[in-house]
Amino acid sequence: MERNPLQRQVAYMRRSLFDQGYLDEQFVQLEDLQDDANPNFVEEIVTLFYTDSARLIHNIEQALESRPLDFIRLDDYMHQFKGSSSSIGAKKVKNECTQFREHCSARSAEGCVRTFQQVKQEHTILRRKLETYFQLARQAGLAN
Amino acid sequence: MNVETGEGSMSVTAAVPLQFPEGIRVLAVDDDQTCLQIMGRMLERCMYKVTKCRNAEEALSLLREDSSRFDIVLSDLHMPDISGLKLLEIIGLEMDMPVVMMSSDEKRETIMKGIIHGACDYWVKPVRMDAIQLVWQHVIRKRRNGLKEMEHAMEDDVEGGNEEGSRSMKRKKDREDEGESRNAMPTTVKKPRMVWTPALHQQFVAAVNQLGYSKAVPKKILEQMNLPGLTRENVASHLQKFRLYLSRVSEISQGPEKTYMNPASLNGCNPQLNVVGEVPLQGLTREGTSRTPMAFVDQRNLFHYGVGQQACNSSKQAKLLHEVPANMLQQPAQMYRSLDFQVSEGTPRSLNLPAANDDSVYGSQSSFSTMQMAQTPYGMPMLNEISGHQHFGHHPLSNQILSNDIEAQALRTVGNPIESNAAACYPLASPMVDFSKDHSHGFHLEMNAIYGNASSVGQGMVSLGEEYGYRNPENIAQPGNNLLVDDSFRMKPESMPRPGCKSLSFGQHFDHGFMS
Repeated sequence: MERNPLQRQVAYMRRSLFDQGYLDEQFVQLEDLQDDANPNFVEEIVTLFYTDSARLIHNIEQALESRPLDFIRLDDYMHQFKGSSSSIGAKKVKNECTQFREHCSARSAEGCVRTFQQVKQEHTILRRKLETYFQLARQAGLAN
Repeated sequence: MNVETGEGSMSVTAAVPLQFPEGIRVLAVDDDQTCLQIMGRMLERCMYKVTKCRNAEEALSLLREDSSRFDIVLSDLHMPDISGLKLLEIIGLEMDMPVVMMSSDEKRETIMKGIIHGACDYWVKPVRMDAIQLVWQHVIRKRRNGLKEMEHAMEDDVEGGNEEGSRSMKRKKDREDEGESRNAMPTTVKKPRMVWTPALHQQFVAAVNQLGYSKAVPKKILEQMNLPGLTRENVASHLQKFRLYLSRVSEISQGPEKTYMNPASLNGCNPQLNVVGEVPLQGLTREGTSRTPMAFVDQRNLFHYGVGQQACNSSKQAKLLHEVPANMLQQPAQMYRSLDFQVSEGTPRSLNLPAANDDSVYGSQSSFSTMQMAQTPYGMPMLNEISGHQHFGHHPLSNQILSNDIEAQALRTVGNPIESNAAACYPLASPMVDFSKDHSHGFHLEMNAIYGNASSVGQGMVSLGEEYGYRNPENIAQPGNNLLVDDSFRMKPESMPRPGCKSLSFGQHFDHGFMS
């Protein structure tokens, strides 16, 4: 049991991220990889993810602007994006990616554009939450 | 820092040294940085030695530089430059290394493709720690399979590759043991991770043809193919399967598949004899009499390949004998010898028969290899037949035989489906049937002599046949003996079921059947 209130807060926040479906089991896998030799592993990976995914998002946005839509290429990008997101346990983001890909196979331009907005939204929401979380965790750690 | 030794070794069986699987050397390939870093960390956690690559090019160059540096490759399927599947294929061809495919694509077709291309496992992303922890199984499995394959292949290696094989195995084992600081992979030799793609198989077949079936032993085939990363064991086991396949095919289809006949090539000889080797016929022709397919000469003796020898029986040989033109029989034994060796010397025609001639099986050069195969099975039996038992010294006999009503005899042999096929191919063969029993060795010497003058090509054919495990003695004696007979004796095709000398069909069958 955590001893200090900060730690309790961190634990609580973590719990809710899972409960609300923002994160899944894969995130725990990342946490398990963290140890004394790699104390900030999770945060490092998440940062890496956001750097990489920014590029992917940019590519997708550009592809969405071309007409006619190249669904194959879009699907391709999204495939990568989905792979990345799932590797850090970004559950909601991953689900939106799946939706997007379904619209790609259905060749629905409107569906793709719409779901992409949702992908971006979830992507951004998660980033903010995780940033807060890590910050809190650092503070709690320092406070130890 | 081996802090967590427990983690890697805990699941190890008692038979395995404690340290294993720690230290197995993994090459991780993924263009996605996030995934790559996570994988790397997981692998480290398991105390594996990790090398990370961001693309297939880099991975390949590392592997080609020194494939013994790694024990296993984990690769993403979906990569920008070279796809994971392609990488998989290349690794399978060039190195003996287990490869695990990864992808967030969980479609069955995709997974199927991965496995078919040779992946030893397929992980759907996101990759979990459990999968990583257990990846060592693939390393062991490959090695054990490779070991078995090698042992198996060694048993079949006619050239006595056994010693060679076990020596090389030991060498490999030593190398591996030395290479590892901790020790111990429970199994010794690294398994050749071999994927015999159709293209590779074509090269294999071409090599076999070029060498001549009788000379086509794994070591030489390997040299002929000259592919880096291909091991003798790979070739040996493939060769073994190949032979089995051929024998199976030849048993099943005496007819249509035996497209050896190339009337044209024989220059008057029964084209079908060509099967055994167009050359023989041609050669015979050159001799002036060429009726007999020298090829039929004691194949067994000539081309003893060790595999699929089986069928010869004296009766078959007799058949072949009949085919031998009298004058052929007169030839000295030297010819036999020359015949024997000519083949390997690469008589142009023998191995490449068909193309030139024709309609028969040989058809086109391109199908040469397949035709070769076709021929051999066919041809072999004949030869074997002859060699076995005949005592051929009887020229008179041969003469007699020749003067027999070949057609009648041929027809006689038609009854047997295989023979019929043969007949189709070698209408003239049948007359020999009755002759065989008493013939001794001399006959095939004669045959050889006859054949010897001809390009030794036929021999090549024959040996190939043998090698391919052509088992049906009857086939040998079959009409295929066209080689032995000249046009005048030729059975009308319609009188016998024509094997259908379509090299292509054989080839196709072969390819499909064999490669499937």
